[in-house]
Amino acid sequence: MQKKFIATIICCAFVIAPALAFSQEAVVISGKVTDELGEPLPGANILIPSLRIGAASDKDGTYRFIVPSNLVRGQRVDLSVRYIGYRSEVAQVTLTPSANVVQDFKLRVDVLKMEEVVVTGMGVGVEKEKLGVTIGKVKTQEIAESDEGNLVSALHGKVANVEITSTSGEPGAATYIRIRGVNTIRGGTQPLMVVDGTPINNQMIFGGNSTGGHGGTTPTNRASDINPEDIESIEILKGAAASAIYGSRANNGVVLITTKSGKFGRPQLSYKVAYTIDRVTNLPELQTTYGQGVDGVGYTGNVPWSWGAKLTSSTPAYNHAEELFETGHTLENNLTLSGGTEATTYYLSLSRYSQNGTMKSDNSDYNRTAVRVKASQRIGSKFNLMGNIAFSDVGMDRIQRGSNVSGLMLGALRTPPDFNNEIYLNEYGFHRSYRFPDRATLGGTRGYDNPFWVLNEHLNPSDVGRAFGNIKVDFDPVDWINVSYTLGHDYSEDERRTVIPIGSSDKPEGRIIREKFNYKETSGRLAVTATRRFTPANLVLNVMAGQELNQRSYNNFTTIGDGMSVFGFDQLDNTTSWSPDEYEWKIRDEAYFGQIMVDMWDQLYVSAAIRNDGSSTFGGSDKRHWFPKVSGAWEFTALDQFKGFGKWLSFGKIRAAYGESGRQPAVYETITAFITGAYGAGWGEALDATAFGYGGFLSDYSRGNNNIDPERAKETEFGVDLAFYHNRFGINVTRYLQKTEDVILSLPTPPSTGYGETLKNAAVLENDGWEIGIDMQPIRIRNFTWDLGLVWGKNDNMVKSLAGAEFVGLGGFVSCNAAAVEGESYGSLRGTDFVRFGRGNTVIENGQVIDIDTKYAGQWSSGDLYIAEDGFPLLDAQERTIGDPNPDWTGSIRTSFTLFNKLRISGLLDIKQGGDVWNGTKGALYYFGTHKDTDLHYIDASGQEQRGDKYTFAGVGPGAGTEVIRDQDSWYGFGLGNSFVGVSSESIEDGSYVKLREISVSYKLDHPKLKQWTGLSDIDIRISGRNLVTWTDYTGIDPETNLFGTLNIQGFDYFNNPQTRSFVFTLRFNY
Amino acid sequence: MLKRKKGAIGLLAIAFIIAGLVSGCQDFLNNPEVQNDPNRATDVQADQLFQGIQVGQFFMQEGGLARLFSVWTQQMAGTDRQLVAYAKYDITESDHDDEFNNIYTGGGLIDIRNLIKVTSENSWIAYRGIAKVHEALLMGTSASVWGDIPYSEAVNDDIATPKLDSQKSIYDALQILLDNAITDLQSGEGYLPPNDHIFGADLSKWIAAAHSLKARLYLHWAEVDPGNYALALAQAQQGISFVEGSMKTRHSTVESESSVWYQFYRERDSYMRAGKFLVDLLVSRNDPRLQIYFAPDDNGGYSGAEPGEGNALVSSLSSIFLAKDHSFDILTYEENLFMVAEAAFKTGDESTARTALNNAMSAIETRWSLDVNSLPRYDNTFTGQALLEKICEEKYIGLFLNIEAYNDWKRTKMPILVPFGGGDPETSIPHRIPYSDDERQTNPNVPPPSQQPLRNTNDPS
Repeated sequence: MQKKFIATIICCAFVIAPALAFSQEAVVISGKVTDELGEPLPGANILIPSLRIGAASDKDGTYRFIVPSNLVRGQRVDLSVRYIGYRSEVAQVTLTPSANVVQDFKLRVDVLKMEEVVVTGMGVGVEKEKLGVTIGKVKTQEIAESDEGNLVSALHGKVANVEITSTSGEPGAATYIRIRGVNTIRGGTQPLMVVDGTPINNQMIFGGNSTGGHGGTTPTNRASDINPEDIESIEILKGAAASAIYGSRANNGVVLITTKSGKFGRPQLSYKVAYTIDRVTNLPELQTTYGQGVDGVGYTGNVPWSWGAKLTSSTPAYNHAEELFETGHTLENNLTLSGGTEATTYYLSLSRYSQNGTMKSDNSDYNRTAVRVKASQRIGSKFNLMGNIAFSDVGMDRIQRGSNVSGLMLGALRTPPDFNNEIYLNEYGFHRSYRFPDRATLGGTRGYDNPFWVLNEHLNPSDVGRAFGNIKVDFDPVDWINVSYTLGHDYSEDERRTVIPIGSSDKPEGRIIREKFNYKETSGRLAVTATRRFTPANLVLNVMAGQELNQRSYNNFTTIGDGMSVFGFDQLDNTTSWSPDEYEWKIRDEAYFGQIMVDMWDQLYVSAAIRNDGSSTFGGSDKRHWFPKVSGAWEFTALDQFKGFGKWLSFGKIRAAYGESGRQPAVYETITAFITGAYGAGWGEALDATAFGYGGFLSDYSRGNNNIDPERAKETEFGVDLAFYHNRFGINVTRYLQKTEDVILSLPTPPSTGYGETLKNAAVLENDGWEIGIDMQPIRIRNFTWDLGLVWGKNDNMVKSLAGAEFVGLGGFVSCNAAAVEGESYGSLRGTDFVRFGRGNTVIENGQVIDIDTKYAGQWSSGDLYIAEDGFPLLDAQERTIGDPNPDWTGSIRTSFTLFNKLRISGLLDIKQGGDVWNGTKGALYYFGTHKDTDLHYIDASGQEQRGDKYTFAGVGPGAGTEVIRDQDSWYGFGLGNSFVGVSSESIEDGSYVKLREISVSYKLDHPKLKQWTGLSDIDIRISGRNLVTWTDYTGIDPETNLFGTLNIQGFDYFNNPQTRSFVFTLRFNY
Repeated sequence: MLKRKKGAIGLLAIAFIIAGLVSGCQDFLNNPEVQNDPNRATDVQADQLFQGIQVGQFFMQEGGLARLFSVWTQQMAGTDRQLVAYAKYDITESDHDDEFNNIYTGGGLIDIRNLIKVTSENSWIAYRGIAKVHEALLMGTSASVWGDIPYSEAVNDDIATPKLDSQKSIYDALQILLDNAITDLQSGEGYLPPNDHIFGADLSKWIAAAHSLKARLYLHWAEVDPGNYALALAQAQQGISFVEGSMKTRHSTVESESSVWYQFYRERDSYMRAGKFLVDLLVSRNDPRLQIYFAPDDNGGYSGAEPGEGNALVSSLSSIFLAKDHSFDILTYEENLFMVAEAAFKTGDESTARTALNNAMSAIETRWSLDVNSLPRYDNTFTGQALLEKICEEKYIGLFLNIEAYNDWKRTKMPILVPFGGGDPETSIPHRIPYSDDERQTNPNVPPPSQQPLRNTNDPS
């Protein structure tokens, strides 16, 4: 199980010798592998490296294999055993004809797992102890214990400085991954994903009516098509020092996914069934005291606010958030069959994952059927062929959300508490919303859609077919040379339909959108590896050279049909006007690479690599660029001087690395061209230039450039790995400094030049940080083990230069936008604030323009509010940075207790410290008067109770100290006291959290009688919880949320759909 | 030994494969298949540019600026969300950046200049004249709103940060541009576009419109220099002379070709309603345009919202104005008549002024198919200030939803509006809006909002 497929191929060449009839002189080697306490270690690899013959230990730790007679010559050979998490051992045995060998091993634990083989790129596996960089590794068990349907979500809290954000709790919602901060401006922050040596598609496509990502429906990220059960391990190459070998696609790091393979031995049949129940976590708090209306006066009809009269006790009041949700269910079935002979291995899996979301709707679900077949065959003694084919069929039904008048939470949370949303059809059978309850027509806007209309009548299905396959051929002309060729292809087609039925506010006359998104990626990689041992200095030399070709293409067809004729007929044929659109691209990369790794004296490990990368996206610019890396590691505890310290300092290594990786320009962006555009100003209007039967073109807003270099991240990383007290306590500390130069961006240029942006290598970003990992086994006695691990990562990001631009907008809303601002960390939230001191603000006092800093000199300190004569602060028209969504640090604590090797209790606490979230939902609900915070009252001069509060703003100015009344008109609604129409900084909140991300109890039922009665070797029973508790000061839904999915725009909460907590019951039958 | 040899052969074979791959891939990266952008055009014809320019012009003339100024002139009211903030004169530098940017970027000045270049190269002189009128219209509207803006150094590949030209110098340049345009149009020479959505390439209509536009641009400076009245009068008298000669935007019932107002209401229904001031004015006059401009409110009557009042229960725009294919006014026959009236009045010719004013009334009746004399006529009992007030009032009502209504109000201070929060309309209601933040942040010639002037040079008081 712990054996890594690729590693096996490359390092050991071929583990299993050809199947040969054994004769009288063959030698049987057998024995038992246990830990120090005598517990058997199943699945350990026992190998005679010189003969490349070996086996894996059985469930009771025993192993047995045969050395064929033609290899038995009375020689002494090394017999090594490897088991992940333990120090490997080597014993010397003599192979004498007909003399069977019995050799037992007792392995010592190794919490740092220094001997674990990790893939460092291009299929090269290296033991951790030899690495000059940190590579995060997440293994089968950790993925299984996360109980996530999306494999990216399974990485939550596992690796330092790998930040994971599940964007919502909806079925199939995308998960965002960010490694060591952001090192680009507009290039995307998702890492390159590679499955078994072949890059795959992890696109996230909004599509539909998403308008820039803030409306429409929740997208997924395509990596979620992979069945997490198929994954053996995930390795994360974090920075340029590790990822340089992937060249110009590796700036965000690389996620290497290795799928499971069959292993030599009897067929393993395993069936897993898991049932999950999901509940929503935090919902915004709403008031149920005041009804629909304005200024304390009740109205019905098209009045959007809930600033009306106080509801009488007899008026029913509804909680418009809670009523939308119920318990969600997920059923997962998984069947795997694997095994192998000496020449053939196979792995087959079938899985069905079907999730019904927490919304009261039949149109919110995620269903994935996945099949994978992976097999390998040795042909003769020099060839090995491996094939891996996976197919997924993914169906999703989504719900309209976000900044969208047909969005679920938007319509729901704005509804006055005295309006019953559950009756969503009126007496005529038409859409009934709180603003238009009685429309006698099918069509026409409803202001905002009734959320139950959204849940029941809107349709947003997505159907994905995904096929992935690769073939790998290995050829070993001599025992020290391996030639391998990997050819892989990834294909996905996503077919979507968006039905905005007649009478929906987003498109009152109805709209149907049909979309097809097709992605194809083909890559071929040739690598030649030579490994030789030399006696002097125990030198091991490994040289690799290779070539990689990659082509990826994408196309998208969209037809928007407007004006539905009849209700409930959801094809384009039912619409009266159509606008088609297509978009496509094709990219090719061609790279050559070489790498040398040198091991000396079994303690000094040096490697150097270089890659020459060419990409078609450079257009008229130079297409080829070099990316080098070099690293070294020294296991100083291998020195004789440390021999005596073995008990206390059992392992020590220092390491350093330097590398460069890159990023290509986006496809076609070097070209200056004309577009068939539409004019709009962000209100949802779009006036097409092509109109009245004539084609219209206009100069693109962005100007291209034929002199573009790749973005280049230069990273230096150093660190130390130490293990103490018999390897029971391990710590690794890493420091990295990364500078990304020549960041490609469409630099804002004055629109008066005719172009609002011009492509340039303009920006410089820096990321530097620390990563600490601690692994320990505080208690280890017979039948009881306690493991404890801590992960901590801190990344400081700084936009060093933007070539003169003050900032570069990344997107967002009218009132709050994300931006890269020179001198700040990436993704700063920008918006309006109050007039404050210390910023050179001017205001008008008595008809005179005055500089407040001068006039009130001596009275203020920087950041104080200016208080105008009426006692209120003022709006500062200049947009400024109002928040930083980047966390100060992230970390996790995980622990597990194992009893009798049967009962296992584990937990994971995931921590994010800092990181602002713009709670635009709350700002809007202040405006509408539905938020709990607006449930306020004061007694006015005439003794009447009024809605609002009395308040004295702290600050300086002519109105300082004046008590004001904050009510709908003056503050919460039409004033500045909400981020909706007022000041956007009012909605910035601290998004820090601590989450009980995972907790699980599992028991392995493997009583001999079980086998006797059922034939099953064991049954795993597991109960686990996910996201059970979140501790946070954030007042909205879960602070782990993002309206913009996996885009670079982070920290936005605007009527986002809530997160979920889950309980999972799992049974796994192993045959 | 044998094994070694085999290995060597293997290596040779590999070297061969690599060499083959390398040589086979010479075109791998440079193939047009991956070098040409299939999504955009790199070479487009004059008519396609002209198409983009016109749609851009329509968007400019009936888009966000028209909405904002209709609220400030109280023809309309901002009743929800950002429009309430606008109605309270709270605007930021990013609120109208799209409108500012569109002056210059795709479909704006850059493409007008592309079109002028292409038409010049082909000696399509009259076509070039049309392009020049579009430029004068676009830049004139823009300079009236923002004052000093980039022009002489704009859309020039060699100038990274265009300077601000004085508002006056821009107007002077536009007068010359329009003279050249008229000369070009009068030549009648060369190919004419099939897709002129304003006048169907009727050159006489373009010539008249160019004169009317000259008159409008002169009038913009009359507050500073009354000599402009005579200049405006002379031009207006050569200007648009019949209802069908009016410049209007074009739309259809196809969603993507429908009017910006319709689309705004489709997306943001509650944001705008009738302005109380205009509704009350029409009611008091018993003016039949009340039903043409506005729809009845929930009570079946007509009502408008006060400035800054978040009240969407009052009358909305009428179905005429919210029709997808309603064409909005850019520069109309009646505006030309109002210009004649005002300029004649100011140059001492009340009789011409009255005739023009009454002709305007008649033109409006024709336009909306109203009964003859359903709108007032002004006899010679109207004289002096009373006549001027009526000219201004009629123009204010007549130029419904036209940006020019705001320019007139800034210049004539009529009608007398009560701003949000009471007080003096001259200091409460903004007389210009800030430059786009996109321009301000990238062009050091543009000062930050707090240092920008509150009024433009042509509107000193």
